Amino acid sequence: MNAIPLNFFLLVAAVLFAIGVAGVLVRRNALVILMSIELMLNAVNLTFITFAAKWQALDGQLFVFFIMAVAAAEVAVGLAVIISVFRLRGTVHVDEINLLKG
Amino acid sequence: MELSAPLIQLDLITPQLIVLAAAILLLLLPLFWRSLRREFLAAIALAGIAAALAATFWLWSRPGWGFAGMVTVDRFALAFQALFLLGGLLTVLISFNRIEEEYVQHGDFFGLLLLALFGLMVMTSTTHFLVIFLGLEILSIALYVLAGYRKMRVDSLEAALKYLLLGAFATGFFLYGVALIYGATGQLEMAHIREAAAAGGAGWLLPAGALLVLIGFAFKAALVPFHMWTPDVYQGAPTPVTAFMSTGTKAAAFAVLARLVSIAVPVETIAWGPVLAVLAVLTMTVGNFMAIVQSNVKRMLAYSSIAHAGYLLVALAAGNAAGRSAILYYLLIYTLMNIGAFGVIAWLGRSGREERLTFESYRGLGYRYPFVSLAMAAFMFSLAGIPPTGGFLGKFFLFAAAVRAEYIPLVVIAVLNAVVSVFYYMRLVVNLYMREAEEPAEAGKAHPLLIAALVIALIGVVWLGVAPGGVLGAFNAAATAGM
Repeated sequence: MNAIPLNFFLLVAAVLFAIGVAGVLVRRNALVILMSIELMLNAVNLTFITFAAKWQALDGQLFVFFIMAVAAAEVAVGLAVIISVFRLRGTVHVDEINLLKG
Repeated sequence: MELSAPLIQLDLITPQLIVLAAAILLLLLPLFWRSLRREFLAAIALAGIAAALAATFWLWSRPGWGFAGMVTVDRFALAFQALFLLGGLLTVLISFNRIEEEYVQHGDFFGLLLLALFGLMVMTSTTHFLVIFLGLEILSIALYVLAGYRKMRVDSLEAALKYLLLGAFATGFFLYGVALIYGATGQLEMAHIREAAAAGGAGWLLPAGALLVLIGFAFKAALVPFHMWTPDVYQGAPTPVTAFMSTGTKAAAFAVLARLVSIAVPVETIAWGPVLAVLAVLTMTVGNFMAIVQSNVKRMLAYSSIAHAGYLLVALAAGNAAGRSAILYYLLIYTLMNIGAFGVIAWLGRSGREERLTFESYRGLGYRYPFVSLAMAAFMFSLAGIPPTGGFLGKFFLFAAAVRAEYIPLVVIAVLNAVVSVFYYMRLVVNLYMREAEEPAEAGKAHPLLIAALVIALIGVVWLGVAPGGVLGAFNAAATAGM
């Protein structure tokens, strides 16, 4: 059985990260932006796991658990903020939430 | 087979543990006793901070590292810890104003503030990227909530949403950078990264990762071109939270960046000098020129805070111990004068209405409220860098470090920028003393704790401008520790 080269994993991760960044910059719905950020973090996770395999070390995999836990906490706060904004403004479209400017 | 127990040196993290204990106490107590006075809750917060400060001074003479290299408590870390604790102390004190009155009665405001403080301390007392990440997120998640604390106001929620989305976005860059550094070297601890990079050619992954980490922290420290969120968030967030964010987060980001450029990824891998110098010029210039055109004082201070990050970058670009010591000294003064200025804004707030936010609303206050106006004028003079205030001496040390590293054109640009900044700071002073008010100015009676914060900040700003000796000596010792 042929092993898949590690570079393939890194490439997939890089593409995922780029899609995530593009999503944050292009999409205007706060929920979709939050999802794009999750995509970026998962690309990071994939990168960490690949490098952990490369170095035959556990600390890269360990880092992934921490990222997952922290991302969950971040999403919990993020959704709470988005719900509060929706209650006040009736929209989660970031272009329509723009009182502050100058 | 024998198992060796891991070495756990809890004494090294005493300050962090004290702050965490106070935070948990503040979050839990109001669940059992609903009618606690806010003075009582603040007393718990202040006692926690004071005890942590004492523990930090106690550790000063016994630095060390522990938890298998995860925690590094050198004097550099301790100096930053003392700085954060001072900022936290002043922030608790300036929460005693009329606008914040409605909600600081609940313990969770102070609890979250102390959790953010805990995050700052975790983040700086380590050279391991995993712990830096955890500290950063403890800090950030607490601040996302605090920024949206006036949850019935749209501007506060908008600030929270923007801060959350861009903060998480920045975290993504930071983490991808760490992943690439890990891929290049197989290490997550800064000194090990350096050794691994020196042993084998790390290739392009290491510089790429280091630049991504720099971008991640550039967002947190509000460096141009990663500053777009700053004015909106600083304007919309509750004033004490803005004061804390603008000083604490910036200081922690610079602590990590200083370690990144001097320990983990040294100049042999990336020419940090030119990279940071370009960022410094952009940050100073954009910050200052955008600050000139603002009519909202909080927003002006947000752009001014961007400009100050630029001055700090000048010393970081110098990359020497004098630069690191100057960064510490300037951050101390900046903490005092910036929280002081936000404290005055908070004081002048009227219940039921927003703070005095336009320059015009400061007209004629100078003679009606002599002390508060004098304090505000002193903070503005210090922010502008006019002697005999600490702001002047701080800027002098920053620029002197860059001159020593022969960044003469950069220093010239920085000095010109400082001259430009005098305009918008003096505009506020002119409005205080030399313009007549259309309607008589009215501010409420200030809470003694808020006055205490202003007195501390005022004494500190003048003291550091006149007698830098002892503090500077300590910071010089800190700047050479562990680098």
